[in-house]
Amino acid sequence: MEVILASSSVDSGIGCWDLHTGSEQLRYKSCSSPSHGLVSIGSRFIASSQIRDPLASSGSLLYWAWNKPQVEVKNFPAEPIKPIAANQSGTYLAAGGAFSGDIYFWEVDTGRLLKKWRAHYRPVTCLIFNEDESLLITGSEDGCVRVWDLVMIFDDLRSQESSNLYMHSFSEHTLRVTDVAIGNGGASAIIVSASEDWTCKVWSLATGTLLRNIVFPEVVIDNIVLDPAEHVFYAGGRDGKIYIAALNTESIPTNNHGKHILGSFSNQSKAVTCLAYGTSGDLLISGAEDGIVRVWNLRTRNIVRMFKHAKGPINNIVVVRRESDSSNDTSFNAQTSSRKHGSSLPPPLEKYRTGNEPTDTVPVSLGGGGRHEDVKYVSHDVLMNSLKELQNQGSNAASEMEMEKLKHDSQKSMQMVNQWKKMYENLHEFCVKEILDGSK
Amino acid sequence: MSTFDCFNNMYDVALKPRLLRTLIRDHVPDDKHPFSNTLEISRVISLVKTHRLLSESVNQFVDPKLVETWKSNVTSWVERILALLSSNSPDKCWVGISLLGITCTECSSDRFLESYSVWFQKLLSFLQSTEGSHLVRVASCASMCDLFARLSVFPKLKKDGSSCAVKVIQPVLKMLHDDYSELIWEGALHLLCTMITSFPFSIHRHYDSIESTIGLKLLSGGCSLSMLKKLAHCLALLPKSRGDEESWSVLMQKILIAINDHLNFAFQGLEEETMRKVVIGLLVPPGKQPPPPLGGFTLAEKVSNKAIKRSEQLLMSNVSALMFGCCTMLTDSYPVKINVPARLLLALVERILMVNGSLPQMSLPFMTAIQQENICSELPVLHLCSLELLTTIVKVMGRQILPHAASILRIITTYFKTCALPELRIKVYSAARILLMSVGVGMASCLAQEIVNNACADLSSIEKSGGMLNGLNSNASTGAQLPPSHRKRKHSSTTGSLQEHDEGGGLGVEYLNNRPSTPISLRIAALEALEALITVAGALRSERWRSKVDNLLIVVAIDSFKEGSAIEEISLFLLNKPAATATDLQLAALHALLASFLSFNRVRPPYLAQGFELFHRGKQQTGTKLAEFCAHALLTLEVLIHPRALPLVDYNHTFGEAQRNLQDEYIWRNNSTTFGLPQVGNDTLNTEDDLFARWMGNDNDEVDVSLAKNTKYTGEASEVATFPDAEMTAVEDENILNSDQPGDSVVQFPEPISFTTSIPVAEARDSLVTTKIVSETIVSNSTVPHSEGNHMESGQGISVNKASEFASQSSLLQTTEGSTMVHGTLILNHGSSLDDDEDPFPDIVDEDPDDSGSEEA
Repeated sequence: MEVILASSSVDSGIGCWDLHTGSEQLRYKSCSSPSHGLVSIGSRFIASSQIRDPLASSGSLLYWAWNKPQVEVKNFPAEPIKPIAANQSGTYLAAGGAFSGDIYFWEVDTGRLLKKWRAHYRPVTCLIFNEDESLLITGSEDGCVRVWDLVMIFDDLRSQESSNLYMHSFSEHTLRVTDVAIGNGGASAIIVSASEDWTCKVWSLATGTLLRNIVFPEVVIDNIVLDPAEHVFYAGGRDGKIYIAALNTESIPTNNHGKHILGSFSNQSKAVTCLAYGTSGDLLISGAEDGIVRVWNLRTRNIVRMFKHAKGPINNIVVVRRESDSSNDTSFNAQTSSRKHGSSLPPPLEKYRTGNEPTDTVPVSLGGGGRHEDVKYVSHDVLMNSLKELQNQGSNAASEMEMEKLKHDSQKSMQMVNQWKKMYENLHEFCVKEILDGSK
Repeated sequence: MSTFDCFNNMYDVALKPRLLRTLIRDHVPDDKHPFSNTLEISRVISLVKTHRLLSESVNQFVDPKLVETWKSNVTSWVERILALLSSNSPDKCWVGISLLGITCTECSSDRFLESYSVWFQKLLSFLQSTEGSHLVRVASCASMCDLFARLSVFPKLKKDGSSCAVKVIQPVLKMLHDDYSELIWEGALHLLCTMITSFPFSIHRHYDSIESTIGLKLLSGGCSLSMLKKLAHCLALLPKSRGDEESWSVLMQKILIAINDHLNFAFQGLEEETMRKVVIGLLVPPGKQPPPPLGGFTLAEKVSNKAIKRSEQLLMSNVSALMFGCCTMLTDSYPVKINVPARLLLALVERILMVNGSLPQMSLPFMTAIQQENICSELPVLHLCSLELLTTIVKVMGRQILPHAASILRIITTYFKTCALPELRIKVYSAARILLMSVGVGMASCLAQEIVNNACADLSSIEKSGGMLNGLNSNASTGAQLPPSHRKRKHSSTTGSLQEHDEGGGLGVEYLNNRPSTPISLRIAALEALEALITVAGALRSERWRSKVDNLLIVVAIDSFKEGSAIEEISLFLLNKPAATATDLQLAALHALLASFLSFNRVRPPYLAQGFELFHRGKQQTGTKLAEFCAHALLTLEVLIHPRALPLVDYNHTFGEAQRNLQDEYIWRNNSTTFGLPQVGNDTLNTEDDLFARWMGNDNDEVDVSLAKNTKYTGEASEVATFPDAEMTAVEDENILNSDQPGDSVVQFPEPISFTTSIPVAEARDSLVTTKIVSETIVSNSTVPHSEGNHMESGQGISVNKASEFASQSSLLQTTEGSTMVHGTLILNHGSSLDDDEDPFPDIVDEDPDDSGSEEA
């Protein structure tokens, strides 16, 4: 089951719809999220940072379980959090502080704050993991896009030695970065960033250079999503249009949009605030300032579904693939054990780091939980082995050797016996002689 | 049954009852028949299994009379077996037990459910009796095992099964305790494992006694290594019966404490105190009680009495078995999430790997030479085990290894420097490879230098014999030296041990140069590590090591085709497990070579031509793995030589239409990639299939003319034509640079390099780039200096020929084009943007390389 989650900056909860049937699922209560502030953690539960009180010194980050509309766990990080990102399996949660340019890195299962580091001069606006989850890409209000090698971040020795923690720092954007995206291709992947300076830029991860600069016609792009095959990317503009920009394809400038921009489509006058790609089927999901979620068929560029979320602007859309039954099935044992503690969700996130040492233990599920194994029978093999042994009786190399050894031993013993006998006889003779001589 | 009551064929059901009857009558021993021929039994079993004589599975169309016959025959088979069981002679008894085990696995479900309790009682009596020959006891364990295995298939019988299993545990433990045959132990352990996995509830009451029995057996010595491993495996399974986090952690802690105790004893006077203290601090966190020792207190006393007698060998075999148990606990599936004590495990691994048998200055008087000799003789095994544990930790933690990645990295890099035995090096390579693969891009930059240096050192012995590239040899040996920045920190930590090595028999650095040849398996491991490195980060900041590795790989690959494999084949004959052969090496070399070709993204792979030749040669060895892989490689490389990423979305049409066209295009391309193009008339050309047009446009002027109407394609054709040229010059540069190395004469490129074609194109682009600079000042400002720097390093060849201004432009093109396909199109777009855009097929008749080239000429 593929579901769409949508949240808004005004409190209207998190809307949840089945992408294929269109049926509305639970509506999770009390959520007003900043942009990039909604994630599904490993498809296990939903997490969102909150912007209730913009001046509060400590922020909040909430968890919802899939099956309950109420907030399940409330976290209070050291400062308000804006963008958050979780890795695929939901073991780590990275978040950017709303005041500082700090990045917080938690281990979800234990709630431990593993690392916190100063990433940018101004607050972080968006952050994502790369495909193998060893890099973190962040965009900031100061127009900087940075690539962080997490291995380096966690290596205290090396990070002290080197002058800067980041792997690349792209500072060509002149205004606030609004969104970043990274493609496939491991070390040769491309990074796309959007900014308020009316441009999107394509960077090479391998070389750290700017590959392409795409200037949009006087419109701020707030969000981008890559076509999975990376032929094009889609950019949602504040003018209500979704632009299609060329990545790995020929672009023919037959429109007035500008270089590399293949075209646009729109059915809305309000600004497009968030985009997501439906992984099954060629679907693009857009959220707009008018509070409506639209699902586009990318082949026909028609709207196939519309969901009304709220009156206020939507600012996050997440597409989550939920294995409808397995969430109860595979982690059944895990849930029963944690049910004793009252909740199926992990403990709250730590506010501050407790120590400088790396953590002692790491929660891991071994062998992917319960795995069904085929029944293996042994008696046949055992029987065959025994038969083999029986057949080899007599000709068995080991016993033959043993036999040789015994023969040798017996020979030796025989010799000994003979020797003793001889000695005895000698003695006897001697004694007899003595006695005879004595009697004489 | 009448004599001529024949059946249809070998699949006829009627055959089965008849055959079974014959078997029972003639071949299965009974009271009267003496049991003499073992071959007969194996024949009976194979027939029963092949024809499924006991299955009683029939479809509804079978004559009920036949079904009845079969049923009665199976019944008489079972009766015969039970009769055998109650026989006095041990051999018949043994046959009966074994056949009962087979029957448990082969009979129909109904029959099994009906009579399993009877069978169970019979087998149980054999397990309980203390007499009986070895074979009888082994067979009864095996048959009991299969009975439980079959029982576990029926979920309804979980409860019954558990109550049966409870009865078995005591006799099994007694067997482990009393008997002195490893065969019986093995059977008993297997039975125990089956019960732990299938009927966990039966274990609960006996959990502690099982643990202490196995622990006792494990630590008291006197077992073979394989037996120890089985014991450790069974021990590792034990917490599964409870299935909670707590019992897993406790057992892990117990095992680790046991390992640590052994190490404390063995490493006295061989290591620094700090490491020991770190491990102990992690083992039992301050303020917590340590759990009771593994195997209970009785064992602890028993062992401590023995302590004086404990030989180092026993110590080491215990430690390696326990570590194997650790690995099993980590890799086996477990129902709940558990807290892996990663830091402790790593500290333990590090502690072991740090000990290399050298004596710290302080403790010289406390250790005799004999003691040192004993420890050193066992150290390699210990190191092997701890490397195995390290690899397991990396595998198990997967992506969650991040917080510990740095310490693992440090362990590996430090150990690489001192490690000299081939078996150990293989393990380090594999650990490094798995670490790279599991962490990904982020790890590559840290591990690259270490892997490259070591792999070069290990693989360079081939060069000496082959003498392909002499220049490379010196390269590799100097390359093995670390760059100064890296060297400082690591060197300081290892100098001491290196010196010790050298004093104690010339190991260490010299070793690599003196050794006549590196074992094949080590070379394979090195190649695999290189392949992993290239796969993960072939393009990422790899300038420092990339060309060295590419040279090395092509040399190794070519050499692997030369080397004879006769020696390995002879050794194959005697060994049970086939050792690594030259073919494996070949395969590994080609794997790595393919990865190196594919991971280029800035320039054309320099040794592509030789690579193709190798793959073609490999492909001819039909039916081998090598041929399979070479075919795959050729397929993969085809994409590289015919880059097909250019026009994908035709935005003049609707989007959906474009995508449909896209599919057509792909189909067309796949059909036309053979160079013998079908002669399709131009009029029949689909307007979308540009590949044809591009190829034709490149070497046929006539088609060019005919395509002039369809000018879009000529524009593209020019684009395509310029690609190889620009890349060719880049390759040429390398050629020039390398040509002072004598080996390079071998490196030849199949195509002649033409400067004439590249000049006009570059000039044409000159204007394009300026427009680009106008429109995108940011881009060019940032890129030009960078590419100029590049140019200074690599582009000397061209800049001699051309004006400097032009050269910088062309080098800009080179670098940017090489970087990704994206960029190639970027330039094309500039070209087309010059034209007006009214026409659905815009008129781009510009810079055809052939035309302008000829004009110039």
